[in-house]
Amino acid sequence: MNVKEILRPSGWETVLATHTLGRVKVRENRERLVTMNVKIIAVFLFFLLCVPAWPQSAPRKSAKEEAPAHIPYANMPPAAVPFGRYRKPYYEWYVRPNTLAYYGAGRSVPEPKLSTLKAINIGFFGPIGKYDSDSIYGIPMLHGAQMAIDEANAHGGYHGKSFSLKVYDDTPIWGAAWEDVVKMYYEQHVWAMLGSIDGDNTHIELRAALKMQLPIIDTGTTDPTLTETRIQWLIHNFPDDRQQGYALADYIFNYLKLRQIGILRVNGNYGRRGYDEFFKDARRMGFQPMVVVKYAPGATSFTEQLHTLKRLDIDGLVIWGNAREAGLILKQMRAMGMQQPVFGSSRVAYPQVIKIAGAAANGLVAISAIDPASKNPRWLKFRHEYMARYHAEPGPYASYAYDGMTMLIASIQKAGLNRALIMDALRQYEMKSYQGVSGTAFFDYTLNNIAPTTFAKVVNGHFVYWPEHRTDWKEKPGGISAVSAVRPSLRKPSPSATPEP
Amino acid sequence: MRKPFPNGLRHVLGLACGLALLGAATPLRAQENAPPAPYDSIGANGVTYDGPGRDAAFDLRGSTIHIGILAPIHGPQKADGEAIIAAARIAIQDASRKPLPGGRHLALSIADESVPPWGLLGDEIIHLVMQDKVAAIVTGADGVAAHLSEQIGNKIGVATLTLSGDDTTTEINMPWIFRMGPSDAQQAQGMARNIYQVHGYRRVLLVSGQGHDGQIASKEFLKEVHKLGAPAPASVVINPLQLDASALLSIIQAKAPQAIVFWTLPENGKELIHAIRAEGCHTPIYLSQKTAQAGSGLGLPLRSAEKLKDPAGMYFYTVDSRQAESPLRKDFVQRYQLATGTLPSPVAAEAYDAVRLVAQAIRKAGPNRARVRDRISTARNLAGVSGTITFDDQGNNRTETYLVRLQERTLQQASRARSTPPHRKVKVDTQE
Repeated sequence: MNVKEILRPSGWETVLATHTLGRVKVRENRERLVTMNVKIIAVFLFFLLCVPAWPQSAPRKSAKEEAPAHIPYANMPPAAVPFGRYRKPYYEWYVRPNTLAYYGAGRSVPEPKLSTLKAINIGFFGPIGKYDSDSIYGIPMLHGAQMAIDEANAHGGYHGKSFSLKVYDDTPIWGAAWEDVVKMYYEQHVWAMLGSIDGDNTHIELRAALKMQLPIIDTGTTDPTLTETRIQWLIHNFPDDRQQGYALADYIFNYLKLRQIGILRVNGNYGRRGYDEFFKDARRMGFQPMVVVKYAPGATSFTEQLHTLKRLDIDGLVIWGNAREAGLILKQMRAMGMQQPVFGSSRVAYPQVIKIAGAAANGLVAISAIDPASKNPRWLKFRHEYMARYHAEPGPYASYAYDGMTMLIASIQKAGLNRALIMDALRQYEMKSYQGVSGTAFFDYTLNNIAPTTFAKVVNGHFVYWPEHRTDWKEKPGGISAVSAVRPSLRKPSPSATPEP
Repeated sequence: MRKPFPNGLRHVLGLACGLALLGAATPLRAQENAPPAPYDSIGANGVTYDGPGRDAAFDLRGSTIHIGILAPIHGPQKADGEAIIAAARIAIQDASRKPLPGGRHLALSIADESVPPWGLLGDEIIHLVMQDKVAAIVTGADGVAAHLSEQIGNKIGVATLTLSGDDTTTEINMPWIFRMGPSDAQQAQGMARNIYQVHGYRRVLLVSGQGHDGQIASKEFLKEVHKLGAPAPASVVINPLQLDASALLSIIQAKAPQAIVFWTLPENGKELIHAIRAEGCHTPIYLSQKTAQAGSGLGLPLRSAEKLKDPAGMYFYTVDSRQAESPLRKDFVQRYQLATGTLPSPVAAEAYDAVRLVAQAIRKAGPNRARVRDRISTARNLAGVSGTITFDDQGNNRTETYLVRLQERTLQQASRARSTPPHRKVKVDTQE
C-alpha cells in the first residue's frame, strides 16, 4: 500500500507521509510548525495584553471630534508651547471644530416685525472721549465702523431699513463698561456690537454678552485671552499680542540671533498684557529677557530706565508701548550712545515715531497690524475714501473696524434678526480666510485671527513693510549661558527666518 | 398799603399751597427711593445643561468608578480634611452595600485642597478629572477651591458638590455646581436674627479672616444686620498667618460686645476663643460652619470638650442643618464617633450626604458625568444625615437651617431659620 497516497489529504497527514521521505524533511516541517504556532501565540498574547488597556482608552468620540488637529493652536511654534518640554497635555483645547459650539435656545427666539423697527441698531463701544489717551485709536475705529455702516445703507440696508450705529464711550472704568453694554442691549436693542480696545473692558463686555447673548466683533484689542474663554459670542480680527510676540521672538532670536534682550514697556493694560507674551516666548526658547523696565503712560524722560538698560549691556531692546513714547526713547537712547537694535509692538509702528525720533528712528523694526503700502485694490479704495472723508490716513484700527463691521453686516443680512443666528453666521468663518481692506485674516476654531503679521522697518526716515515668514522654530534653544560669549556683531542673521525686504 | 388778601384767606391759601407742594413732591420722592427695576432677571428660571456628554460614548470606563474628594490633607486644616474623608469613607461603605450595575464598584479619589490655590490646586483638580476620571467632585469648605473646581468642571463637564458657604459659587449660572450646606447669607441670617431679635443684643463684634471667604461672609453678615435695622457691629479682620490674640482682647475690652461672631479658619477660631475664655470673658460666641469644623476643637469633638468646659455656661452657636432625631443621623453619628472618636461637624455630615448623593446618581444614571449631574440636580426631599436635601434650580440646597448651641457637651437647637434664597422671606422662631 502506498502510504503517501493515503495520507496526502491534510497537512498533518502530509507530515506523516513525508516521514517516509527522510528525517531531514520531517525536522524542517516541525520547525515550520513551531514558528507558526509561536506566531499564533504572539498574536493571541498581543490581543490579550490589549484588553486591560481598552477600558483606559479615551471614550469614543464623534467623527468630527476625532478629526486630527492640523494646525497647532494659534500657530504656536513647538518651542513656544507652554510646559512643552515637561508635560504632555491631557487634552488640547481650541483645535477642534466644536470649540465654540452653542447649545442654547437663542435660535428659537422669533424675529421682530420689521415694520416695528426704526432701524437695525448695532452697538459701538470704544474709547472716543476727548481726554482718553486711547482715543487716538478709538476715533479711527469709530470712523472705520461708520464707513462700513454707511456703505451698507447706500446698498439698501437691511430689507430697506437702515443700519444705525449706537455709539458708547469706553471710559477706563470697570463698572461703566458693564453698564454701557447692558444699556446698549436693553435700551437700544442692538443686534450685535463692535468693540473695544482695552483688554480688561472687552473682557467685561464679553461676560455681559455671554449673559445677554449678544454677538461681538472685536476689532481693536490685542489681548489674546479673550478668545480663550470659549465664550461663543465673540469674533476677533486684530493681530493679538501672542501673534506679535511669536513674530518678534522669531525675528530677534532666530533671524538676528540676538540673545540678551531688554524690555521697556508702558505701565498700563496694553504694556502689561502685551510684553508678557513676548517674554514667555523668549523664556521658552531659552533666552529669558535680562530685564523688564516700566515707564508711566505719557512719560517724557526715560533716562533712569535707559541707564538701567545700558548697565546691563543688552543686545537689543523691545518696546511695548505707544509711538510717541517710543520716539522719545529712541531719541534719548541714541543720545546716550546706545546703538542697540530696537524693536516694537504694533502701536509703535506709526509715523509719529519717525516724526519725534528723526534720524534716531532709522533701523527700528516693529510689528505693523496692516501693510499701508499694499497694492490690494480693496485697501486702495478704502484708503482713498477714508482720506477723502476724514482727511487722515486710515490706520490699523480704522481698517479692522471697517472689515469687522462689514463682516457683521453681512452676517445680519444672511441670518436675519436673531442674535444666535447672527453669531452662527459669524461662526462660519472658523478655519476660513477673509479678504478685507486690512489684509487676509484667517480665523481659527476660537474665531481669532491668526494670520501672519507684517513687519515695518524705518529705512531713511520711512517705513518699509514686509510680511512675516516665520521659521518652524525647531532650532534647539541656546540658553543664556551658551550665548553670552558671542557678541551680536559676530552673529549672522539666519537665512531661514523672516527676511528683511 | 392795602393788603390783597385778608389775613384769614392768606393763611388758608398758604396752607393750600404748602399741601399742594407736598403732594407734588411725594411721587417724586417715592421715585427716588424706589429701587430701580432690573432690565432682566437672568438665571431666574434655573440653570440647565444642554451640551453634549450624555451618550454612552462618554461613559466612564473601568470597573471602579471614582468620586473625587478635595479636602485639606496637610497643614493646619488637616483635621478638617480628615473629618471630611472619614465621613466620605462611611458614605462609600454604605453605598457599596448593594453592588452597582455591571459589577462596578465605587472608590474615593482624594486630592489635597491645602496646596496654594493658583496653579497647584488647579493641578489637583485636573488630576482628579483627567487621570482618576472621577464621576463628580466633593470640595471642602473653602470657597476658592469650590470656585476653581466649578470652573474646571464647567469646562470639562464634571459636577462639583461643595461644602463651602460662598454664595457666589451658585450665582454665576453654571449648571455643574451644587451646594450641600447653608450659604453664607443663610448662616448670616440665622445668626443675626438670633443675636439681634431673639436676644436683643446691640453691641456685637464680628471677627473675620483675611481672604476671599472672610470678605464674602462678613459682607453677608453686615447686609443682614443692615436689613434688621440694627447697629452695625464692630468688625475685626485677622491675618490668619499672624494671629494677635492680645489685640483682639483689647478690642473686646474696649467695645464690651454682647456677642462675638467668628467667621475665620477653624484653627484661628480655636486659638482666639481659647485666649478669650482664658481671660474670663464669657460673651456668647457664634461660629460659622466653616469655623466650626473639626479643626476648631471648640465644642463638637468630645475629646477636647473637657478642656473647654466652662462652669459659667458656654454658648457656641453654629449653623447646622440637621435632623437630630432621624435614625439615619444617629447611625452616622455613632459610626463616625467609632471611627474618629469625635462628633461630626456639620461639614462632615454634609460630606457624607454629598458622597451618598453622587453614589446614588451613579447607580441610577450610570457612570456618565453629564447624566450624574442631571440626576443630582433632580434631588428633592432626600433624607440625609445633614438634613433633607432639595436643590433649587441654581444648585442651592434649600433644606431647613438650624442654629444650634453647644452646652455641656450636647448640641441643643437654639433657634430655627428656614433656609431660603436671600430674596425670599425668612421665618425665624423667636423662641429659644
